[in-house]
Amino acid sequence: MTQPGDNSDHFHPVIENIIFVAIVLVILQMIAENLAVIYHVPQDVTTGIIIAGFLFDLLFTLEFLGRLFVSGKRSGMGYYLKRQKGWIDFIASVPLLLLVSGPALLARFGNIEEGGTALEILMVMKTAKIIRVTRILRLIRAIRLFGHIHQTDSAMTNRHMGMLSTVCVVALIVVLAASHYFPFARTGDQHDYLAWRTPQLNAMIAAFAGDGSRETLLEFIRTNPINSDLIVLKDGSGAELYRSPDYSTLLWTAFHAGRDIPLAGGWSAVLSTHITDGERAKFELALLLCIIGVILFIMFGYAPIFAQQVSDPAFVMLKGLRNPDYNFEVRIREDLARDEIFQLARTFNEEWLPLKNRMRKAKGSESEEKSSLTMEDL
Amino acid sequence: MNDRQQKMSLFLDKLWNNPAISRKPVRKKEREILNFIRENQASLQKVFSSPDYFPGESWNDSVALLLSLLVEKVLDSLAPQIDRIGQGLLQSGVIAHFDSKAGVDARCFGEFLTGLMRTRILRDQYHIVIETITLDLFRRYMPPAIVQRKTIYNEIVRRERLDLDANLIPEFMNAASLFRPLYYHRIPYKKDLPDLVSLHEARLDRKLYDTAVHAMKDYIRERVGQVPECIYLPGLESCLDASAQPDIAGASKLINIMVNRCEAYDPDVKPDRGAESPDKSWFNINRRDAREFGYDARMLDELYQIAGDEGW
Repeated sequence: MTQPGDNSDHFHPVIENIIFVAIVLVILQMIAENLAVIYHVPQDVTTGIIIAGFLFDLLFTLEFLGRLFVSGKRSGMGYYLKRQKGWIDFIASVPLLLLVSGPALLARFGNIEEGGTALEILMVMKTAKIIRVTRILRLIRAIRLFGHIHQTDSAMTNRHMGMLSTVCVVALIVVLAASHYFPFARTGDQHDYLAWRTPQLNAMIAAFAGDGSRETLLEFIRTNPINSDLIVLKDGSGAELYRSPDYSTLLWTAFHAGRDIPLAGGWSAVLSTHITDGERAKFELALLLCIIGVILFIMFGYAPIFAQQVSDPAFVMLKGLRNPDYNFEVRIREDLARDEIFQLARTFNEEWLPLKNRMRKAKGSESEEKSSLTMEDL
Repeated sequence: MNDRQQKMSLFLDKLWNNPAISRKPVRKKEREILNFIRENQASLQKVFSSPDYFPGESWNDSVALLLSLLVEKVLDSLAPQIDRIGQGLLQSGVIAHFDSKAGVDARCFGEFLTGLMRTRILRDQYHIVIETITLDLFRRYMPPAIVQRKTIYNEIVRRERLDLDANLIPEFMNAASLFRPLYYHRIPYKKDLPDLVSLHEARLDRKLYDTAVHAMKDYIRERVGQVPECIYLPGLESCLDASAQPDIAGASKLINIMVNRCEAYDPDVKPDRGAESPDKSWFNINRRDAREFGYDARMLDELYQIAGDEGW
């Protein structure tokens, strides 16, 4: 087994570049997916986005399995999962494929009005909705790749930036996930929405059930935007009083996979989830933009500060210790002179470099240096 | 050039133009080749004794030829720089300023330097001096030092009553530094006797040293011409320990610092982010051990401050 190293989970550079492009594209896909929910775009567009999401999840699942296999051979699966953030690759791939995009695709191409398997799949999908946000974690992989480009000299900076980004992103996701369990904090919860919407529909039915005519009720439904989620309304005898003009568009977003929701007086309705889904999509989009903003700030705002205050002085000292010809002092910022790294740098400047200089002079410097020429050169 | 020399010359060209060293300064190239010969003596012995080269010839003969051609190569490479320095020295008017009758010929001066550089020890010294002049270290540091009027100005101009235009002071320093390597040059010091001594060898015996300085003055007059003492003496004395002999000229102290700065300078080694600039680092490191290395600590302080201000 090879020695564990930072690159032991790496594929061929061409594959790494393809994955990097896929990560960028999946972020765009996430934005498009949320925008599609917010603006309730036509079903075929949404279908395209769902298929794209499935393909990305499939690709990232294969990537995860590939890395697991490759690092298993090189440095051990445990090393990859723990030290190389393989757990992030896992969370952002396999569960999404099995619980989100896979079921979504099956539900899309199944017949939801017939119930059965597709219906059950949708239920699973809805309970697993919360893990959708873990797609954002793929950004961490992009940061790791980007970090190698941005801070090529410093493994410490790369790792630190990756760690900090992971902590920030995971913290935001955990807060979002936790907020789902607090009624006062959650947004776009379908159960809450239904609990809020049902009394409204009951009040509307009560108002028109006595003496109101069917036309007045229909007029009220059509003119009141809040009822745009109403797909079908049936009276106590089961007769259909109202069917939305967007019936076919809305049906695939219906609560309980299109089954009737019982209302007061034996009435029932089929309701669309698109309003509450839109709220959730807005929240997720805000979270996504927030995470992208945090990551960009870390990469471009914090990384240079970290490099200047930690990794650059360490790098200069390391190079000065290793390379006999590298005799540059570490630049010490007076306002940070009490930091441990700069105290170390001061010792390096004041003790090591003069000692090295004395040794160099005593040794006669260049005469003992190894020549850059070899017999092979001839 | 006979066949034997041609073969060796081609061999040397391969080394000299090797991409690993082709962009290095002449001083480093020569050092690289000498180190290469030392490291690969056994393999080279086999190569030179092969039928393609010099079968039947001893290693000593082969290597002597190689070294003599290397010296010629080095001198040929430095010839344009030496000519330029000689011309610059005479055209600057520094020598004429001190002695209008001084008759120094640029060609003679160039030949004098080239002749001295055939000796390894003097060649090593001249390499660095030529680099110091080529890098314009004096032209870089003197103007701010003159403006500041601190230690360097006081030591070089006021104390020595140097009546020179500010623009000519760097030229004066360059001219003086050209005589620094003569400190290691062995010359006859007793009339009609072949005994040789260098100022370096005589430095511990005051009487002998004074005799050697006297002999050196005569030597310079004979070989170069009427060079004013205030030019060559600071160069010769620049090798002395400034902390042990604080009375030596300020120009000597500055030449000593700058030539040593240049010796440590490597254009291939660039400071990374987070490192101080090359000159600032060097001055600060060396001012801590100024006494040990024979530098003037106050000058190093000032140079450190100038390098910091200018970002050098």
